[in-house]
Amino acid sequence: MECIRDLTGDIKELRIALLDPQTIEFVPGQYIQLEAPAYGDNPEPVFRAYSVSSPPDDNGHVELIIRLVPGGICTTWVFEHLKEGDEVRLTGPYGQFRLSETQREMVWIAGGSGMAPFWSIVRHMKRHNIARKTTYFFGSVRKADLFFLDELSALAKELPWFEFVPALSGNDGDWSGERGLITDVVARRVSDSADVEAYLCGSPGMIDAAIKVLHDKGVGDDRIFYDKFA
Amino acid sequence: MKLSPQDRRIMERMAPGVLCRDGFLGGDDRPLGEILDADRAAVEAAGLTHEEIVRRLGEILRLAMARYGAPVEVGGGLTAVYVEAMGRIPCPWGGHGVFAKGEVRLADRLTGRQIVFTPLSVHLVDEHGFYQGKGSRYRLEPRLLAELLRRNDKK
Repeated sequence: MECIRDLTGDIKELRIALLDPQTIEFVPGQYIQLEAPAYGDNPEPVFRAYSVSSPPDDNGHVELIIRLVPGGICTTWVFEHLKEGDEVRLTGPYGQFRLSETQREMVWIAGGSGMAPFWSIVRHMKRHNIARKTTYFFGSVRKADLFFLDELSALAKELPWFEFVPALSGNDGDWSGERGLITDVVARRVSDSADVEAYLCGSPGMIDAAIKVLHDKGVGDDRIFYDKFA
Repeated sequence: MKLSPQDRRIMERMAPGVLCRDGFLGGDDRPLGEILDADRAAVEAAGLTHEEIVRRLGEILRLAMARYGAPVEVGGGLTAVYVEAMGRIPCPWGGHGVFAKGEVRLADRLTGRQIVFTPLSVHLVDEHGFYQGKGSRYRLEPRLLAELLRRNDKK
């Protein structure tokens, strides 16, 4: 464990330097399984899936974005026991969530730790000049729950094909960005009959609601890709 | 009271570290049957039924989940917030599928009293009449439930 840093009050970023093997090959959007060892009252190791948030070119490392689950076996270990310098075990990569090979315009929708695959994908796209028009909608309740705002805003300034739209559903006064549930923001901002592909990562409820909005916009199931928290 | 083999298996799955960090029993060392019987009586004494509780908590759960973490007024001065979480958790009885992790925090703005429950909590009441052990994070104390749901009546 090379580095652990707090992104919000209940989300941490882990940066893991690979020891054996020393590199990993994966497609941005895939996930790994992280092992939480036996600890405290938990007699057995458990594995939990987390999307890789680092770009594949940084192949000597794996970054993860992990949100604390109240009473969660693995996230309690991450938040209360894991230290920089500890050795950890992970397996992978796994999963089919990834960008298609078309050049179609994209809409990304995420909340909370659903940021992870998109943080990998956008940095990969930048590095490899994959200039597909992309609007990334990221929802949160409070401003304190947002993270990577500066980094994503900087990318949006630098990359003409990338637009970042954070939105708050709570009542923070000091916020000049979009307001409302992220699905409502998408409904306002995405045009009807949009010729887009949509990529979603987050809770089943958010994804189901987002799919409904996208269907109403004329986006078919063959152009909607998602990674549900499950 | 001697535990039946079935109850023993279920209580083993309810122990800390098996399905979740804290398990389902809190500090409650009563046998499962005793917990169920006592809560059935307490629910009746509070003037409620398992079915009514399931219906009301289910409605609050749906309202809260639709807001992805933003608080929602559910009537009677009660607010509910659904805090989502990755992953799913099975029922300790087994054989009922898996349930989304994440929890609803239902609070009375006037008194500050709060209960916390999950999609699995609703299933446990519905299928098993189980309100979790005393001291468990997701313990649904029947008297407190009755108090909050009566306030919820006043929409």
